[in-house]
Amino acid sequence: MHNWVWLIPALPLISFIVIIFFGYRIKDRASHLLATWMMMLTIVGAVLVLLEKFTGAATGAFTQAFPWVQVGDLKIPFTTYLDNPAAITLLMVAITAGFIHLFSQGYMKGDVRYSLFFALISLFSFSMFGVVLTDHFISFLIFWEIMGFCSYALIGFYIEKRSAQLAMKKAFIVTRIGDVGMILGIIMLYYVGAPLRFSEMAAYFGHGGAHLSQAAVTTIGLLLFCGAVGKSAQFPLHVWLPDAMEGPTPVSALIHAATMVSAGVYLVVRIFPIVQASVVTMTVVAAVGAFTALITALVGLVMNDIKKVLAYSTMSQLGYMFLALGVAGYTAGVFHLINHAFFKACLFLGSGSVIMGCHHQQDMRRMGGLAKLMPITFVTFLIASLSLMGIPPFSGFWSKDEILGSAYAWGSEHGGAYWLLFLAGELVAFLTAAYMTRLLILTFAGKYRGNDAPTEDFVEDQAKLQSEQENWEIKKYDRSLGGLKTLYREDEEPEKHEEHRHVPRESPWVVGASLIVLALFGGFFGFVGAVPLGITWWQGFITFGHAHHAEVNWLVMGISTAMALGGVFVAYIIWGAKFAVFMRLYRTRLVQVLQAVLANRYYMDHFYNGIIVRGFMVLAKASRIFDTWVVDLIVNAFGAGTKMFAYAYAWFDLWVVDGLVNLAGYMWLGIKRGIRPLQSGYLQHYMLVLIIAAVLFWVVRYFF
Amino acid sequence: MSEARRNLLSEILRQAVTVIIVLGVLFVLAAIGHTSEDQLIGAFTNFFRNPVNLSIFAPILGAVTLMFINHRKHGTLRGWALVFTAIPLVITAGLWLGWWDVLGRLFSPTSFLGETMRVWMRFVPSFEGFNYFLDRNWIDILNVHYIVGLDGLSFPLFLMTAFISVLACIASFGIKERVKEYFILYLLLVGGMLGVFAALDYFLFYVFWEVSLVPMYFLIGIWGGPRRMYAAIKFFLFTLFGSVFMLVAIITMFLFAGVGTFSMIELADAPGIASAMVGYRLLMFGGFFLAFSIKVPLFPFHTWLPDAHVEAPTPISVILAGILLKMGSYGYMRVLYPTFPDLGYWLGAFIGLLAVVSIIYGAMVAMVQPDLKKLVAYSSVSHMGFIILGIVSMNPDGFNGAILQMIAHGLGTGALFLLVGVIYDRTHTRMIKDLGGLMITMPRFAFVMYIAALSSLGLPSLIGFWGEFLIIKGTFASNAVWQQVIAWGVQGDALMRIYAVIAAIGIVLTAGYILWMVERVMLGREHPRWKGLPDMIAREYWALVPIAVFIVFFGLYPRPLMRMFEFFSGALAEKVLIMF
Repeated sequence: MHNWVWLIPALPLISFIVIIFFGYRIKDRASHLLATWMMMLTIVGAVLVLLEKFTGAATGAFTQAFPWVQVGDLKIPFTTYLDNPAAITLLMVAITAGFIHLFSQGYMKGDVRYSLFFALISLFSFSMFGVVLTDHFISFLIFWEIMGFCSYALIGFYIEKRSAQLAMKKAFIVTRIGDVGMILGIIMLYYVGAPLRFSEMAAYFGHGGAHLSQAAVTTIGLLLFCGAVGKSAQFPLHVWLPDAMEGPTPVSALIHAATMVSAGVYLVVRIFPIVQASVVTMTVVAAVGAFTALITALVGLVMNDIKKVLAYSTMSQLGYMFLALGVAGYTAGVFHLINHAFFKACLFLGSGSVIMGCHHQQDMRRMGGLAKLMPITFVTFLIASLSLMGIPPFSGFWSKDEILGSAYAWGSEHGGAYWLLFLAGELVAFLTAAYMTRLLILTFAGKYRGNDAPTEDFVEDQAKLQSEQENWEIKKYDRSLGGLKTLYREDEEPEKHEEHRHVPRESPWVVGASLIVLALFGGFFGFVGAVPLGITWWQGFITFGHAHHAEVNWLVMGISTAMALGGVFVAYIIWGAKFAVFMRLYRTRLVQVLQAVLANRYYMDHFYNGIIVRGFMVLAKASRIFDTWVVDLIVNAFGAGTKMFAYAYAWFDLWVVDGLVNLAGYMWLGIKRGIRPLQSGYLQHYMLVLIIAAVLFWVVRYFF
Repeated sequence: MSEARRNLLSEILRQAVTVIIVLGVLFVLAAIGHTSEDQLIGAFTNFFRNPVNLSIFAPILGAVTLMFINHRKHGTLRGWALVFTAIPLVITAGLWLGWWDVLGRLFSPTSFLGETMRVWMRFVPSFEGFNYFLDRNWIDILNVHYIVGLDGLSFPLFLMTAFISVLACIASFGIKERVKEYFILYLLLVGGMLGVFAALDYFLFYVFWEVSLVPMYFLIGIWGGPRRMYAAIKFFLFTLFGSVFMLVAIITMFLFAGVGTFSMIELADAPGIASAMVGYRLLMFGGFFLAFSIKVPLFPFHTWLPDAHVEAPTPISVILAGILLKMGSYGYMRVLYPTFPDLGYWLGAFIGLLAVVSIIYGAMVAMVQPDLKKLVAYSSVSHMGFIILGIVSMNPDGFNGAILQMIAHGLGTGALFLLVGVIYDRTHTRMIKDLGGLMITMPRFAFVMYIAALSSLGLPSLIGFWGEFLIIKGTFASNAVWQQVIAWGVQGDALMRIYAVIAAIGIVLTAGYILWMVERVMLGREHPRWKGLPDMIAREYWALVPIAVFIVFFGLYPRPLMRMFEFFSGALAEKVLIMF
């Protein structure tokens, strides 16, 4: 299988090409069957690859190459690099992508751009496989950006929605800012003469990057980390991910939870030799991760949109992984990457199922009591949630424990401020449990609220969204028309409020099947690395440098379990039991202000839009004015000046140069006029002149 | 045989007779001054056997032929114009892919066609001199020669010119008035542009440079938009202003070189120029710099571009952006840097600054343009800034990136102008605020638009990425700025690194304005005003599909393009780096 590993990305590429060019000819059913079964084949392939790795049929890293781009000293072979993390990530991507394809058949049913959707997620799967497998940084960048484009296109899949348009643009540009850092990092790698192939980095950057100065290693590491920050939505480039929830739910599950956003973490895993060679880079990675994990987990507590809660949870968990990598917990980081992908994909699909059940209602204030109505969804969602919360014995517990163990070890090794990382990790464990419990209570417990009269704040939020869309449409379309009436024709009236009561139903079998498979992986995959039970397969499989000595830190385990259970308890007494004392506390001014800050995401969006975007727009407008009124004015003034000069010259030519000529003419005319009377033609006049002349001559001659 | 078909056949016969007569007249004209019949035939055949000459003169011959065709027969005029623009493409593509070599095997080596195919051998990028080189006496009194030839720099541009000309010719089928005059001027323009890239004698270069200028003036001035006269005159005078200085520079070079020839090859290494006083060298450098920078256009000289683009008809905008601008950057690499590497080195900080300002400033102004065509025009300013930055870096990566970016910009921006033309033909508006939801209305249009737009913003996997990446890489590693230049307290090579970072920031701005434009034009609910707008018709579609295919193909596999010029870039970098 190793020699054929390139087939794995090729399969979804084939389905993309077929669907994008023939999607309007073949039926919707054909497109989804093609896409889904190609993905199922990739799962088989990935399993075979992993088995070969596992049985030791192919040990260590494996590369294969053919020349691809060569210009000057830029030589880029097209190479795959299949080390153990790549093999396991490959399997993770294949399974999540495969079952999300299956899920989408149910979720996207009846969409007008159904086959386009499958084309795009196939292209996405192709590029994600490419990111996982490729060896050279440039080809990595290419797959990375195709992935970014798919994310862009799928966030804005509902192109009619204003919020989706804004979100897609934001996602692309914000990640692009990170990518520019990464491109500069790649150029720095060239500049210092370091290898660009991941497989050669360990040898070159080993021993603290002895080939290079510490400053160079740090700069390269930080620049490359920029790309990861953008893609994995870490502070300060995290603002795009919550908005990306505008995309269809399978997209959120696949791209914005399981695979693409994890690719940032995967990048740091790939370049770990560079990161590890500099203490500064390590600290920055850990600090960015911990900080993001903390602030986003807090926001997760107040969000009402079920997908937004999960989005903040994703950012928080990705921060956790960066924290792990930043404290040298390589094994733990990859472990959590895989576990998180499984259970978060399951959670998103579960939320998708809930949203389908509630007639495309995403607001948790309109849910409740779904446990009885949608049992399969509930059970799978619960398993994945427990896994995310880190409740033993589910997957998340084992990997989170590894991370916290690493943070603890790092703290005790370096001391001082490094203990903050461990502290942040524990706090996040607490908060994670709290917001997930809140989510479970609001969604599945109690009774169904979808048929109740909507509460005030819900109406307010809906009106805000509605007016945003309408204002934009009026602004956009009304200018050329007689009003919105022509816009909404009879066939597309704005949706009427459904008067009849409806009861959420369980989703179709494709949805249920996908949920069950992902819940099994999400809930129980972690047993491969359950150290306290004596299973240390994972710790032997994924190692960096020397083998990870798997030992159990009962203290850390105890604290983190206590934190998780504490979070569940606190969330229960606030949102579940609703004790009167807490309700009073909830209404105090301080808590309200705090809630407003969190609900507005610390006003980061306001800051970016108000200061940076607006600043650029002002600058752009100023440039345009400068261009018209200064640069072009100079050009036109130059032309006008030349014209004035030409007029002046014409005047000069007419009155001076030609004037002189004419003057000469007129002068002769004058002279002529003066002497013309002398030539009258009469003989007597001539005679007279002759006589006068003769007399004068005589007088002069005689008297003088 | 039906009546219509018989008419068609007689029509074709009549046209063929016209072509033969024109050829005969040319032959007789060429005969003057030749002594024997054999010598004449030999000279004539050898002249036109050269594939470059044939490519240059086929469109010009076509222009002459079109003069004899009835001006009411639009179809015939269009057909012949397409045939005569396609000849250079067929020939040049064959030289690139080597199919003439294959064809040559069918004929005996001594036969006429066999010998011709031997001349039309596959282009050799690593050849030290020039492929398809031809040197003829032309104006003996000044020792002006007729020299043409192609190397790694001019061949890709020659090929791209031939390619874009054909597509623009297909797009020109939409022209409805004064068709005959239009195509005559168009063919002259194509011949002139091809000539600029092939000419190796300064005098000939200058002649072709101006030959491409005049038809452009008429094409904008007659078939343009409402403010066409202003735009045409501005374009003509602005460019002429530059080329006059170029003429001064050429004459100065001729006088200083002391080799008594205008040949570019000989003047590039003439010791007389290298040892001339720095003031005179600056005069020569400045003359060329002004001419080429106006054509590119670099930042303070760019204002003719948006006006010319907005007013020109669609195919002419495509030619203007795709090819004419490249004549400036071609001049940089053909004349300015090989001949005056030391001045390039000293002034690198300054020219680089202009390039960086063009990148950022062009992107900024493009961002707030209400007019779609003007937006694309200003994006050209931004992209051309990248090309100049790559040249300023004076290393192989920079040169490679610059040439690749020329091709990428030619394809990408050409496609964007064609697409804007498609919209304008249907809606008669170019204002972004009036458009919307075209993705639903015109899906095929949207598909091609996305490819062109994403290539323009430099998405890896499309051709636009490679140029920008190589340029930033080259600039970052460049030490081609005089170390003693201390601008704002920054040392020379650090300055280039700062330029590289600013150029990288320009990539983000590009993403900003392109995506914003795409959002306003294509996304959203189907616009009621444009509901039922027909999607692209076959002619428009097939003018765009080849570009889209090349954008994707060469984005994924740029090796075939890079193979053409990597040797040239390496040699040029070696030549200019003697300075350090």
